[in-house]
Amino acid sequence: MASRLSGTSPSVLIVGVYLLDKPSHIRGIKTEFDKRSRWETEQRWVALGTGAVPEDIAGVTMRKIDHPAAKFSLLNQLLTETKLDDFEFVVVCDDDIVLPESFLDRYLELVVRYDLALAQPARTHDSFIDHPFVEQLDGLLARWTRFVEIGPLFSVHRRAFPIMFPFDEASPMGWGYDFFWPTLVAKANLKMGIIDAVPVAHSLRKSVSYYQHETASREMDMFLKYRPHLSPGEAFFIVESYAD
Amino acid sequence: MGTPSLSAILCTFNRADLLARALDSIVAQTLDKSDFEVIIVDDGSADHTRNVVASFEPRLPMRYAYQANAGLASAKNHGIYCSRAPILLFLDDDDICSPTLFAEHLKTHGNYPDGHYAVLGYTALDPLLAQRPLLHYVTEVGCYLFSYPNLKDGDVLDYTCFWGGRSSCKRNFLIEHGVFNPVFRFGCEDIELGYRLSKYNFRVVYNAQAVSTMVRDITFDAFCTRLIRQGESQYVFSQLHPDMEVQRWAEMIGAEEKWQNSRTVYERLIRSAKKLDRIVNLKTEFGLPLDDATLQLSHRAYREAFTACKLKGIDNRRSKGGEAPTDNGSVPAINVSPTPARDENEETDSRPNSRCSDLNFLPSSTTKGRTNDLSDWERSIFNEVTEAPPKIHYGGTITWGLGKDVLNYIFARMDSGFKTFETGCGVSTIVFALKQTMHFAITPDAEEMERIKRYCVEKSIPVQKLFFRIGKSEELLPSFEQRDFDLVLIDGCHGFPVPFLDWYYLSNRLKVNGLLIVDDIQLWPCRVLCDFLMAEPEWAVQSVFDRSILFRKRKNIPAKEWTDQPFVVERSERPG
Repeated sequence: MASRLSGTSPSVLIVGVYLLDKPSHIRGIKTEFDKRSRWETEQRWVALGTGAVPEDIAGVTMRKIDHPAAKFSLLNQLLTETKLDDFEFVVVCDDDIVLPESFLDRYLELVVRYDLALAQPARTHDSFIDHPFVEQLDGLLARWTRFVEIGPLFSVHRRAFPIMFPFDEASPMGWGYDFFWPTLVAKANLKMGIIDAVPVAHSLRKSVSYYQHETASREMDMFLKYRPHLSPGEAFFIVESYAD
Repeated sequence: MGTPSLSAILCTFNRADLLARALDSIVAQTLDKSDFEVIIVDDGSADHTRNVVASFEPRLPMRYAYQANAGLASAKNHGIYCSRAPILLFLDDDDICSPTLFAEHLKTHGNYPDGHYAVLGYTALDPLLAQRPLLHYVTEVGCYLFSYPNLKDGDVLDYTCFWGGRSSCKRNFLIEHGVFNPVFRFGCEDIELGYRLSKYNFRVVYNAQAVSTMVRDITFDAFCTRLIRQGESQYVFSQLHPDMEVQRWAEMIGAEEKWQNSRTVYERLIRSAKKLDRIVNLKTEFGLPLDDATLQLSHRAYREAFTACKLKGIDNRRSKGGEAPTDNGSVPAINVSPTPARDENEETDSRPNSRCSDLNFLPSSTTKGRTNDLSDWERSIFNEVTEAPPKIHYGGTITWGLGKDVLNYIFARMDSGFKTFETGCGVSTIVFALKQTMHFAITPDAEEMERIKRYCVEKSIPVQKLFFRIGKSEELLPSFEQRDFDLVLIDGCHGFPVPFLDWYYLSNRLKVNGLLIVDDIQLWPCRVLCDFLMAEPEWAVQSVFDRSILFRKRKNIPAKEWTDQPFVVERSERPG
């Protein structure tokens, strides 16, 4: 089946939040996305914390917030002030990952090839991983799944913009989105999946290390209570796997 | 399409003909075909595996999943995620299923519906193979391949009996608590997963009526190769989990010394055993009786040769350098790539001798597993020392120490096989002593040392492996004689540039893949040191604690000019 994602406007919007008061890989991430690519990129970041915005990141930092704020609320602010029609993909990225060389070209090539409207790279084996399902499956290029996690990086194709944006701020930290998204994607007759051949390293911070697990779990339960969603057993399923 | 009750996961690699026999036996299952599915994970076969699978598609509810060759653990995970049923049965491609195999597994799961129960079936040898002296020895005497003689139908066993290729378990239990570690391309992937699941009360119920039959012959050479690879996997397992229980299972206790004794006679041992194997095979083939002396001699030769093979495997992997434990709390990774691809002679199970029947581990209850008095004692002392720490510093008036998260890490990961070092001393020193690592600490205050030793003696914590050097680290370290540390903790003087000097003198005394903890990153010298290391390719951040960062050393650090240091380059102007 020919991909339906073949780009008409090869532009990618990269949005994210980075922390000023904790170790982060923001410089490396920015540099990687700045590299020459077959995609035109625009980066828009929010700096969170009390420290100073590094000079070399200032150009892509849209605002600085010095009080605690929820990630997906901040992302919504970034997205609403951007004309999304100009972009083929939106990539949502955290600040604590290491991207492999030529990440964007290699990653999006497979996203397009396998027609994944919502996708994310697998996590390297030495990453912090809450759900082993997102760990790289050696031997695969990609897989069509029923699960894409809320971080540390995911991409949304323009055909999925209407169902994905704005993020539902009933759970502003995003807890529970990943079990709700598959129902949205399926209803829209789109595909979601994980790219195994281009994994990212998520080894700097645990996803929940700065939050209470209990709070996350409570917020997730509240969020999912009135929304259709999958159980982990249903979500962690490969609909189709792709290998060379 | 309804949801089946059982997904049979069969990983295969270049064994198309054997696979056809295995699938034939699945066609004959008494369980209704709407009640099961077969997931074939083709681990990169280059033969006609795909065609064999296609030929069975009209007869079996099947799903074929292909992957480039990645090893058994990855293939099994691929199968788990492709499966739909609540019960997963892992099969080998060289085993034939008895017609009631699937039904028997389901029956036992029905009797043990809780998620933490798995089921182990019985694997018999094909009658023709059972006559072969080698196979008889490895299954019935030495129990290298199967160790059923000590099991009784209905036994509830521990994780050491979660044998790949003949066990089933609940999918949701794996989804919730963990899947196979992809570092294991061959061997130990099943027991290592079982070990992690044992933290969630994982148990294995033995059903002797759930029968499969092994139909593939194994030559002496192939079996030796298998055991070498098994030894390699055991070493990896032991590095992932420093727990003494794992060290014992993986046969690591004294392995280095035993290999030193065996290495010079290794070739001779293999040659002798191979000759004897040929003799007993010929006698069997010609129907000649095997006298008791020859039989005993062959068994002894097998035992010596196979023990040496495993030791060789352990040594091989140790020489390559296994990585130190990771702390991400999920599937840790070790150096995936250097392990060779699977070959046709691979086995898919991993059982050191008779582990289930190792009576030293077994309490008298119906559940077999080991009690752990030592760990309980260690834990209670650990809680005491972290919750009510002795006053060590400033004349015994206060206590400085690592955060509880780092102490927990040290407590969980260190064991008596490790060699560790710290600048400064305190509660961490007591925890290292408690874990009986060979530990070195540098402090300028001899009284601190005395207070620590006194506390240890009061609490019966052994101090024989605790070594102090009294003085300033920047003065003692340049001529410090010890090296090859598994873990180094920098927590001494925090004034600039001492943390840098400590790191400078200790970094190449740390083993490759060893761990470095820099404490007190809220202080500028320590924070800058961490920022510097994060930019250096020789160091990888393993974990960020509240006030400390844990790094893994990727390789030895060469002498560098500033132009080779990314952190320095980024902040400097090139002349001209």
